[in-house]
Amino acid sequence: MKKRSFLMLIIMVFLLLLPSVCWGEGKKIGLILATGGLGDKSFNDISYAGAVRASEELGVELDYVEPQAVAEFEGYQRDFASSQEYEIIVCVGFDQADALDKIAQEFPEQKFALVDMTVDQPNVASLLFKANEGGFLLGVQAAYMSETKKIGIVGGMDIPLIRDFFIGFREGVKWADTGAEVLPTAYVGAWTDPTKGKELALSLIDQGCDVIWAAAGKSGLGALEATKERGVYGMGVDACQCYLGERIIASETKRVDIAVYETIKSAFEGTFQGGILEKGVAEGWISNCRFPEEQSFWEETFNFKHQVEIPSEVMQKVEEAREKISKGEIKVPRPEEFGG
Amino acid sequence: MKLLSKKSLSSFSILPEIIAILLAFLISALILLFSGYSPLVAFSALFRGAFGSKNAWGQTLTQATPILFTALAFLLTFRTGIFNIGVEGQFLMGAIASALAGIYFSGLPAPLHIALSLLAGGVMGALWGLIPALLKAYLGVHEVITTMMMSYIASYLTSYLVNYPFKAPGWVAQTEPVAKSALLPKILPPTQLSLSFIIALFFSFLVSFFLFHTYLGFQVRAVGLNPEAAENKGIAIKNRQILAFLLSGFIAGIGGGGEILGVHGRFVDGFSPGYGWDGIAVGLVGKLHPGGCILASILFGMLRAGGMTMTRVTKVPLDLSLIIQSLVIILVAAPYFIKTVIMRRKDL
Repeated sequence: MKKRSFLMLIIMVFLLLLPSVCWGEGKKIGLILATGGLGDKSFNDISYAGAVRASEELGVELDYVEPQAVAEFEGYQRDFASSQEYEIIVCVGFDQADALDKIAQEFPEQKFALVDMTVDQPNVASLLFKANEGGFLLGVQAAYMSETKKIGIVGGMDIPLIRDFFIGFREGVKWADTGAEVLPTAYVGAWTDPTKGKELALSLIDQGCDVIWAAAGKSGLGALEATKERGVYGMGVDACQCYLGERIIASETKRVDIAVYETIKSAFEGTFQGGILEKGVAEGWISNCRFPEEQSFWEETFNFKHQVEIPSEVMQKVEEAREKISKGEIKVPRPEEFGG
Repeated sequence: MKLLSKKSLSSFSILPEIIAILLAFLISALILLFSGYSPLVAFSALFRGAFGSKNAWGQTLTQATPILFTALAFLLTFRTGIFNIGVEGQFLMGAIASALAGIYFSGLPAPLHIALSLLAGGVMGALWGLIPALLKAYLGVHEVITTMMMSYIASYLTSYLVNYPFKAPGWVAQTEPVAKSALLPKILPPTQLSLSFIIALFFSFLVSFFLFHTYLGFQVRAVGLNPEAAENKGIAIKNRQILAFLLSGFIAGIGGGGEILGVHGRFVDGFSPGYGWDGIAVGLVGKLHPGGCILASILFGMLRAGGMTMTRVTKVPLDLSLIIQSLVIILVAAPYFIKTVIMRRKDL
């Protein structure tokens, strides 16, 4: 008995204590995903795609982690930063902000990027998106696709971030000038209540709406479920959500991958700048999944096909709106909290 | 008494546990090897991440702290023959109570405010433990069902509280930050390690003293070892079990409070990745002894903290350090296997 356990100990000691091999030279990319991890078909997957693209094009290594709890963010951030192996560390999701505010001060030489939230430190690039502009494009589509001329929107919470989407959307419907109207916004009051999301969408459909847009996290999935059940058109947000149902016709897309890619690239090229980087339709950070170049990207990513054809004259109108927004000819309003 | 202490000494031999842990690493090394990773590189990253620097130590002990609390809570009830798997619920209720006390009792001097907030957590945890205790003692409802359900209730209740009544403005489900005076001091800056770790060690000592050096603790253990004999000796079983539940809930609640006041500074929805459940495993791996639990919780903290570095530098998925954890639990929970098959001993 003693022999065996002794042997095992010896083996373990060898396995564990031999010196580690050297790591590759040159700085790497660090990526700290939001809780939920890869496979969410949304934020995490898209951010990861952007980092992978940067890693391949720049020929640098990418290390990523999938924290499981909010408590782990600070540990991971410090672990990445203190190793000094990373040119830039990209943190995904607003709930990393508290930890990053601290870590960014601890490591003032380290470059960080934070997706979807601001941290006011000179070494942090806060990547924000002009969601109102994407709402505008979606509004144009909705105005043309509605036959009853009544459109419903379901929001997660009545907060500036969500109002930003809807202000743009209403403006887009108005701009399209098809006589369509948007009913008052139905707020779920939570991000995680699909049942209530569905109820609200059903009541909007009962009031005559035949296009429903949901921007409400998981609650929005319930609203989209309702459109499926009643056979009306649905619209999605963040990633292309059209794979969720045949009659989900379009989604406002937040191209986190492009934002992440560009930020990483700037860090390696020496043009990185801290501060708030807020971009929209003009820069391609905000878009619509029915634009040709977007459509093929999303259909490949999620392996599905859009079923409902959007008439080309409608898409021409949306294209026109995109151009005008990009050139500044249309100024899409924002909530006052966002400087609107 | 002499016989008893001798027996407890021999059952505290930790050789089988050490072999189990080494075996777990060995099996993990094989899994790594077959998945195309180098066990050498992976494990050296794991150890570097767990003990290689001040940061690493801070991470390991920070991760160990909450599970040491929950392990102590678990073993207290287990020693009276109660399988309390509701530690997670008591932990969460303690956390929310401490958070609210930390926010709303402002204006106190720091030591008083900290003590009061932790106490609020402990009392809340104890109350949460009292419910299944009473159900068990007076209605005979089995504690496995009630404690597990009470955990779910606590999880959803705290989630509701921080999503609605006590939600801070913004779009994260969390409370306002607690007052500065309620924050536990950090003991190894700049890491997250706080005074909560020392408190956990202190409670390990208290629990050990209570169980092995007080008459009440002796009774509690007697109830667990042989309830009928204990009853014949005139020990009121129900009372001792309720007492164990209260103490267990109190410690779990303090642990939850320590996590809020020491690490997060506010109650964030979903902050616990299952510390209460980990406590059950750590309690068992630690051989239901507070000293063993300290070692076992550091082992688990090491796997969590080192696992971070391992996934970062080697791309070995974090799942693998969870596999090591699970292997440790399985192998340690199978002492008969280790003792007879590996150590060829039947006498232990």
